[in-house]
Amino acid sequence: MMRILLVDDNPTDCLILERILQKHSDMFSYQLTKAHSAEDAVRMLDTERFDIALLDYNLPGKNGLAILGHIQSKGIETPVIMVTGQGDEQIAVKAMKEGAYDYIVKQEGYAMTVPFIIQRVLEEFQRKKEKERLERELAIKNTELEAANKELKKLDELKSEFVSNVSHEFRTPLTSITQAVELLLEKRMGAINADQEEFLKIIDQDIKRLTRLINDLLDMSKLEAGKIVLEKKKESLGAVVIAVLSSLKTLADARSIELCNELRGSLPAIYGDAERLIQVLTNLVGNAIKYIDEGGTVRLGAEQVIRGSDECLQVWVKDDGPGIARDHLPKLFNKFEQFKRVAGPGAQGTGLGLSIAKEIVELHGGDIWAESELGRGTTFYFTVPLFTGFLYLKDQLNDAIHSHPERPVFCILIRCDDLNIIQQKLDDETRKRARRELEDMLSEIIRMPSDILVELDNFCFGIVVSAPKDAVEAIRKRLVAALYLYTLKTGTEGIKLSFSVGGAGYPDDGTNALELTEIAQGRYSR
Amino acid sequence: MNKKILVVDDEEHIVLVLRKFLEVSGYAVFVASDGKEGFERVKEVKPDLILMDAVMPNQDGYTTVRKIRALKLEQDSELATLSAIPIIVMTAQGPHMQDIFELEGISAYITKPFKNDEVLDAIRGLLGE
Repeated sequence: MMRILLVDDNPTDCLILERILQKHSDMFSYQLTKAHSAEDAVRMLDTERFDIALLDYNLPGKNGLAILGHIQSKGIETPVIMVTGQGDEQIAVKAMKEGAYDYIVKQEGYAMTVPFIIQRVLEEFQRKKEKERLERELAIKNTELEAANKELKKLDELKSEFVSNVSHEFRTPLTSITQAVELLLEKRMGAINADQEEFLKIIDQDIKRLTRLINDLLDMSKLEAGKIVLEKKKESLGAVVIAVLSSLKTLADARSIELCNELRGSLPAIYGDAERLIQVLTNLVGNAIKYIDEGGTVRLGAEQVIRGSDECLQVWVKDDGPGIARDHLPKLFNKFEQFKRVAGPGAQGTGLGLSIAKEIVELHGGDIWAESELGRGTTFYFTVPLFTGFLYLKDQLNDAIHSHPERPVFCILIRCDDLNIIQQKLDDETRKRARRELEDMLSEIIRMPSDILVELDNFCFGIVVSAPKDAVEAIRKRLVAALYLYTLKTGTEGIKLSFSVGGAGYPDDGTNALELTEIAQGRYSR
Repeated sequence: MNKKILVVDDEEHIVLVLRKFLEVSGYAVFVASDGKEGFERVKEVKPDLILMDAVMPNQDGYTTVRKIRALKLEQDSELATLSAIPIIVMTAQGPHMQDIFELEGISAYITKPFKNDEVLDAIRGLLGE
């Protein structure tokens, strides 16, 4: 049963409303309580619970707003509809501001609308209550989740620390074992017989395996803990491949396996950490050498592909070995998964190589996968992004933001508006000189050691500045002036170039560095 | 006369094997089992080269290296010359873990577990052999 409190000093108005409510009693069942003064109303509100209150504004003594104020300050959970006279809209607005759910203006026929307004207000009130309840529950759940997350993170850190400590501790005894066995094997401690030599060789090989396992474990724990930071630069895949092939040559020769470098033509530069990419390729090629039959071939190549919206190099390592069963393929990159691709000398691995490779490739923003068929060899693929000024700029921006979180970071972009003129009218030599002069001029202007100049494209540059906004504005003004002078003297045939200097975004406008470069990329890509 | 090498490490087995290996390689070997003892032995033995473990009780390798390098400021010229002895630090931190700030004053480092040839190459390189 819904309880309605009607506060009105006018008996006629009360009677009319009572009649109307009766007439609509099929809409809701209710019990009506009447108060004829503000004092009565306040007393009733303090002692009883009402589901809704209709407050007349014009009461003798205290007015309706005063009752509304009382309801709000006491935290009484009764939604209020304010009833005002004609021309009192100001008061209605004030009542809404102070927490009334709706208002009714006493004009001809207003009473007819009251039941509907009551119904609507009640629905709105319930929705609000429900929303508040859900928000409270969500807040509690959130706190619980945060606590659980924190706990998990702590456990994970403990685990990584444990793995790191244990691998560290393993190295000490391994050192003396390695050395002692080597001393014996090298016969520096005197002659040994054939059996002794054979056993020592077994010990030696297994020590090496143990060492690899420990190194891999340490790497894996650091990768998982996010403690490995890539040192990404503009790199050539060719150099990475040559480093890998030459370091694995002895291993391949020992099994008469041919390593073919099938990189063709000039490939664009990649954006990555060369050391880590060497680690990935060493794992893939090393695996192939171990698992395929003696006398087999491992081919290594790459091609330029587009994945999603990004250009990248897709590198492949193809062997003519026994292959991997289809249902083993998805588990290939899991930790400690090793499959006997038919018996072979492959058992020397740690079971971590491919998961490490996967972590490293993914850290680079690439993918890694394998295709294989039993009896038909295996091909591993991975992708690595091409170097672009924008990727580099993005990283530089993020670095600048994270290394000095207290300092604002800005990105200024400079683009030549007349790239067509440059392409068509300037010969190669002049173009190169003009570009070099532009770069020199720009590096002159940004002299702060923390500022970074990145070439995005031909005659298109990004500058990362970490300084107060005023200082950045000053740099911008200097840039505009300098570029104007530059346009006057560029070109041999009196070509004048025009430049745009964009403050692509200020972080204190609420734009973050990534959005900033994306905006810039959209605006500045050709 | 054979060149003198001082090995400072708290791991008994490592010291034992290293000593044998360095002796058969033609060096006179002296040992100490922690940084404090190592520092005293430097002054006493005046070695041509030091092999120093990084993590040891009492006084770690990095501190000991700094102390040896600080001998440069001594009035006694014989002590001061000791500050220039080449020092190879042996670390059990995995590869990629070398902290450049801690490498100050270190002539070379090798990562445990190391091969005999690695030690010998490092020693010969620093002694100019």
